[in-house]
Amino acid sequence: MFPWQTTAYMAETAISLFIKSSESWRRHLAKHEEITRMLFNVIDELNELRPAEEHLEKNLVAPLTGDSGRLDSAGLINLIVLTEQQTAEELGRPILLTDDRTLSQVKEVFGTLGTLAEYIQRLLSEKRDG
Amino acid sequence: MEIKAFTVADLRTVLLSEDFWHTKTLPITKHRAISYSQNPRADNDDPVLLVAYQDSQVIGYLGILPDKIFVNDAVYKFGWLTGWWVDPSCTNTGVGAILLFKALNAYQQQLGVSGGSKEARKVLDASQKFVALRTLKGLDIKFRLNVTGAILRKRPALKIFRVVFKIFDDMMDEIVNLRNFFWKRRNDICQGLTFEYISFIDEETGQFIQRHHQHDLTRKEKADLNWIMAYPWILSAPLKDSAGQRYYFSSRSNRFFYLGVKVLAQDGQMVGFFMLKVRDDRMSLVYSYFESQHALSIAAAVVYQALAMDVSALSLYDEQLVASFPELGCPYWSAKGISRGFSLSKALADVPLANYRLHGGDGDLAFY
Repeated sequence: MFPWQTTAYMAETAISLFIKSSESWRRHLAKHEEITRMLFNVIDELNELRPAEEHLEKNLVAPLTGDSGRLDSAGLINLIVLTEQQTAEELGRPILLTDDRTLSQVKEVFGTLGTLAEYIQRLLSEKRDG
Repeated sequence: MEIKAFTVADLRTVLLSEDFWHTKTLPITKHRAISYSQNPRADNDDPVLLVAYQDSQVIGYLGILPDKIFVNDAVYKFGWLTGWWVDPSCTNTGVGAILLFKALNAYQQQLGVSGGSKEARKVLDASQKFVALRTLKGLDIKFRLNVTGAILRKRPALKIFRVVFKIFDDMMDEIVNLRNFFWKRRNDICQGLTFEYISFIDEETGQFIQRHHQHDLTRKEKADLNWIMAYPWILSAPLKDSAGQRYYFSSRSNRFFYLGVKVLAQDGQMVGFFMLKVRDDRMSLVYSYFESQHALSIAAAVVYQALAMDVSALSLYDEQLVASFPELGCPYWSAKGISRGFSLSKALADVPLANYRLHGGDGDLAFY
């Protein structure tokens, strides 16, 4: 093989990898957006169950649990139940947020809507790959 | 945050450990731990206590009481939730929710709930994991007025008039005693039935219970009732001890005991058995077994016990006894309908539960 052929082959591989990863990144972003939209719907439903002064913000970085969080145990359970239901309905794939693995990292998973969205995305991709 | 699950076997070890009992908040008392570890329906590896720790301090806990449901020839093992507490400063950490889901996972989603606080019900309802069983309807009968207690509970500042209220109560009590005296003389509602008090379930009673518990949801047996009587969660003690001060739920009362009462016909034949729980000035009927035709006499026997033990109030949850009570015509200040809610997790919803009977002591209610 001539050196120019090697270079061309490497360039082709790099370009294809770039296209693939950007596609996968695009898919990732699209999925993230879909999950975020779904979670905002969950927040709408959750807010219907809560008094106006306790409404949650549709904000990916606002704390949900922890010292400055606004969810007590009943609120957290509502969030979990509604999220499981909406994920199955809107994204077409059921997930479980009450298994021991999730429960062992509640602070990290339910810290904000953003962390929850990332975790759901991870669960969905694990299901797809697995 | 770390959640530790203690099994029956772990609790036996914990009872010998020093460190476990040195935390600022206790997740269980020693006598309650002994009771959990002796539960005849629990296996050694059943988780019975979940404790949430943060920086080595207890921030929440949840007890589980293993039990069994009997339907025809099938037996379903499950656990009753009990003693569920979360440190008020940690309500936004989700610790209550984590404890509940951990318990559900540990029992293959098969749990039950008897009674429960408003907060606990809110969390359980939110989980959508539980369905309500039939509500147990009962009667709360007040035999004595107890104005002192009622007023001082609402307005503690009136404590200075305590003596006046007490005199009034004593006068009312005398009227009650007189009415009781005449009622007992006028009526032989027990129709010559006699009693035998027992502090443990003997063979005869065990067999009698077995003949009458076929429609019970949890079909308690000799060993179960003996366990309840022998290992109370509340001790009779005059003052709150150091453990009681560090444990959220009741662990002592001035007066607390169980009493088994066998009811015998004139020929010595056993026609009924009931188990009473007396806590301070309140009596509750926790389990009762009898021939239907003797319901009125058994109701009279229960009332006689309440009057003889000088309690202010009696709680009854047995349908037949509740229905028989008005026929007794016994003197009382008020009789108010009360109810106890029971729930089972949806995982048990397919169990064909029809015409089952619940007792006033089912779940963890016999212990409080």
